[in-house]
Amino acid sequence: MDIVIRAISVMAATCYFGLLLHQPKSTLVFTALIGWLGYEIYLLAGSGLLAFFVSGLFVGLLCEIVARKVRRTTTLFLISSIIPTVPGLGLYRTMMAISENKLDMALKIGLDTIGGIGALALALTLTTLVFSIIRPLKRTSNHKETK
Amino acid sequence: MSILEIESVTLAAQTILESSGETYRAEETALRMAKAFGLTEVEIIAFPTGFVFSAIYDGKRENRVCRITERSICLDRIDAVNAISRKAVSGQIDARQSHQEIKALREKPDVRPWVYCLYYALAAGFFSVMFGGWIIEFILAFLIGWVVEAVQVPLAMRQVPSQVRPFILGFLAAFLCVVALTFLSASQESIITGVIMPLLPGLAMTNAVRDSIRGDIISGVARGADALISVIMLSAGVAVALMIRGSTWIL
Repeated sequence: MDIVIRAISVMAATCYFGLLLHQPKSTLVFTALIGWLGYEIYLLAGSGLLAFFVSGLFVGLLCEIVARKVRRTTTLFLISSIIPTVPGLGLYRTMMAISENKLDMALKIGLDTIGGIGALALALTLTTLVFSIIRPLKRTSNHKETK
Repeated sequence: MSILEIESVTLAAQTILESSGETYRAEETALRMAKAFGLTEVEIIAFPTGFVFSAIYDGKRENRVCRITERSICLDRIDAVNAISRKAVSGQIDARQSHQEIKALREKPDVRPWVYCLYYALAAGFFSVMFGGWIIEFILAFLIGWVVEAVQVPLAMRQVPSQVRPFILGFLAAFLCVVALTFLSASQESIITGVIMPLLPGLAMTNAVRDSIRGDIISGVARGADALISVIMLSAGVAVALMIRGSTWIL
């Protein structure tokens, strides 16, 4: 029951977030699914720094693959798929600790949050890098075919 | 005096940058379209805040400078300009047609603002459920999310700097939540986190990464700094609201 509610809420949130960014409606199904899978993997991997990295890798890879399959740009998929994994909760808890003057707690949670954002960015960098090496090869080969 | 080929290329680049597209995308689109329209010695250098374009048309060098002041996130526009440029490159449409198509795209009336309030409210509500909320949390996050987006639209229209907006909105979200929770009992954590989730600069972060990889160091660093400032301002807004509660209301 818990997993069903979580799945529905994550997918719906990703969908409406995508709509907020004027995302084309035909891509919403993919981003909702990728967003949910990414979040589940984040939870399965233990919600630590490594979890952010693994989940970011997974989301980045899936987005690049789907974007190539449906021939749209990757950015369309990446932004709303990654949003459930972005550490908003850590951000809030850091601020809560600061407002309660528990500075040692704030520092600990804050560092975890910044580390999480860094891990996500690193994972996205890696997937984009891998695919940007593949992409030019593909493009030149397409070019020759059309000529 | 205006040369349609050049107008069409610069309009495409301008539209991409105004919709928060990646810098390399604006440059590549402009280069490919310019080549397709028969311009030679094309050079373009783009930043998140503007671009310089130069090309030889009819034996004469033409230069254009464009400053981009207001940026919003419109993924569908980036996608549409991409499609138009692809058509132009493959020769299906000429410069006049592509100019008209991009112009039509830019003038297309936006959906009514309240629809975006609804989207924001629903996104906030579902995010709060995702963070462990339930029906009361959903309803509260929905209402607060609606208010936050309803405030964001006029702020953007009055051209309040985009780095100040997250502070105001984060403060508003946390403050409204704190006020509401003096009358009701619900999970404050899931509501505030749910409402601020859509304000996090996911796009700026992703594009910073993508621009840096392409070697656009200036754009990458600029966007990275933009994302960082937004996050700091947002957190500061939330923290201020929580501190007000800590100092005035004794719960």
